[in-house]
Amino acid sequence: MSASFEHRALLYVSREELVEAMAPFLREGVADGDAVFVATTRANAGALREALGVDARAIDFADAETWYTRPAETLDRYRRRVERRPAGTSARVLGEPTWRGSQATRLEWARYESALNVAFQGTPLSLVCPYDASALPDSVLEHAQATHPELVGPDGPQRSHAFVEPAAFPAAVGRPGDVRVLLESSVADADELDDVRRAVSRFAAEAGLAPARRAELALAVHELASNALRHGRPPARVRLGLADDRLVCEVADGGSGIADPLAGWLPRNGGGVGGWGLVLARRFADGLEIGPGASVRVHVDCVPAAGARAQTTSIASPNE
Amino acid sequence: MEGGALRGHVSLTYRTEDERRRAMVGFLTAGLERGERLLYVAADPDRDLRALEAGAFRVADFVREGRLAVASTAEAYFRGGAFDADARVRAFAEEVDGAMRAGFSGLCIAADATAILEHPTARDTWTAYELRADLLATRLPFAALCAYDERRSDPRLLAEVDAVHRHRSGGSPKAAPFRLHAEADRLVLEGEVDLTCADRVRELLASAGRDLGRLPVDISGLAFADVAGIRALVAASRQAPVQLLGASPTFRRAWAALDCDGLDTIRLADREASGGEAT
Repeated sequence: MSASFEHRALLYVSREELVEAMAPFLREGVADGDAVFVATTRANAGALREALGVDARAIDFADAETWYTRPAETLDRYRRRVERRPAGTSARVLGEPTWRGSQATRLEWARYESALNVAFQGTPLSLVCPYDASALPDSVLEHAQATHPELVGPDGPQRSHAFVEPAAFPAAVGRPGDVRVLLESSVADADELDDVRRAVSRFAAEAGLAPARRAELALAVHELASNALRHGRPPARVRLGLADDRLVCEVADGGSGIADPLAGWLPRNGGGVGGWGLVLARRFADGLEIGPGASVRVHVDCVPAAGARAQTTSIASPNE
Repeated sequence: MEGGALRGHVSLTYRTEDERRRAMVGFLTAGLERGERLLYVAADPDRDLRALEAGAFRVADFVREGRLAVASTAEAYFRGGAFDADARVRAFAEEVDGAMRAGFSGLCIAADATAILEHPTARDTWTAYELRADLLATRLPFAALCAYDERRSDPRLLAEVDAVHRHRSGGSPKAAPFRLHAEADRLVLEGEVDLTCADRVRELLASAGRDLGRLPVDISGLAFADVAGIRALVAASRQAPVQLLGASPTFRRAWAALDCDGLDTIRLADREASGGEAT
């Protein structure tokens, strides 16, 4: 039974190694009466069940495909699940994201792993995150050591010397690669935000995004622009662009930017300045990057449709 | 202009007096054919009598028979010098009742309401009052045409007033981003609710809630709601509990993201549960 949050990474190279390390961890949780939960691939879940035998019946399993949808959404799922555990019990979790998507999306998952340290601080939760070192890119494995205070070793947990404080992590990893800016506009008044929404939606449609994701992206960008107008220094500059594997929207203003590098991760902190808007924006994007300066970027993964808009045009419709 | 084709609670924006008179007379003519008691309200109704006569109204006879009443805007809306929304809603309900007891099939009102938008005590409460009138029109045999002079009215106010009428007859004011009207068993909120109109929507819902009690609000036509919009719905529910019908998948996800799914006063109906929330 853990009194506070434990967050460890396990780098494994074979399924056997994963089972060997994790079956005792899970079995111990069952024996202690913990609320035990596993979210991983079907193959890994199958192997764990087999090793656990009857103990597996006391464990909730979720398929990583449906559990790890979007980072902020998944964090909220974990929060709700942990809050729902029976009174007086601890929670014990094996959680293995799919690490799919663009490099920018994997970076958001790394920020998610880092934000977990703050989100569950003081919560009796023991979470182990296995990483398949035989398949995942080096950058993901490096980030694992920067986002987990401890690593699971052959002789038990050991401190991760590469760990980076969560508040410093987003700046340490920066934001990825070049984006071709295709659409740019300046917004000075809230009355113009409906034009921004329509422009984002149109742009996303041309890029091949499905209707539901368009609506979510439009809402995310609307909230960022609305925050810039109300809490930054207008006008807000909205830029839409494409990279090879994603659509990017950036909103910037002339103010000093968002002070909290973890903004948007924790609904409980939503009371802060512009807090709920950022919660929504992060929830509805595959990634959200704060800074540099007073700029915020969201992206959604997509393979841009061939011939997607090649020239820069203005967002606001000239209907004064 | 075919104001007569529309029943219920209708708004009209006009640009000429002639346009206004024709629409109002047309609306009352339809009421006459339905056997309703008629009420004609204008800033200076005496000047409109010729138009009524031309519309086959035997004004003097009708007035004597109690079939038609003609009143000035001041008489109809500003008794005692101020506009009292609660008193007006009660009065209309009583007038409908009176019409029924006198053997009419209902009450039909055509009113030029422009002066109300210019009146300091009415301006702030009028839209909410109009929504309550809309509600009344769904429950009682009551039809009303509210006419507004587009040339004299604040366009923002006009757009807002328009937003709470189910039907629009003529004119084309700059539309409000949202529309809110009453059906027999629910309010219908359509369009877009964002920070620019969230406060207004909250006030309107809260004021309608005073009449309706537990309030089902159909949002299946709500194309967009931002944080401010969602918070407005939540805030309105503190006056009267709200059930939201027909929420879109995006609205549902935003609702959960803002931690609204545990609230006591406001709930999403289960309809349109589009699978897959894994929690």
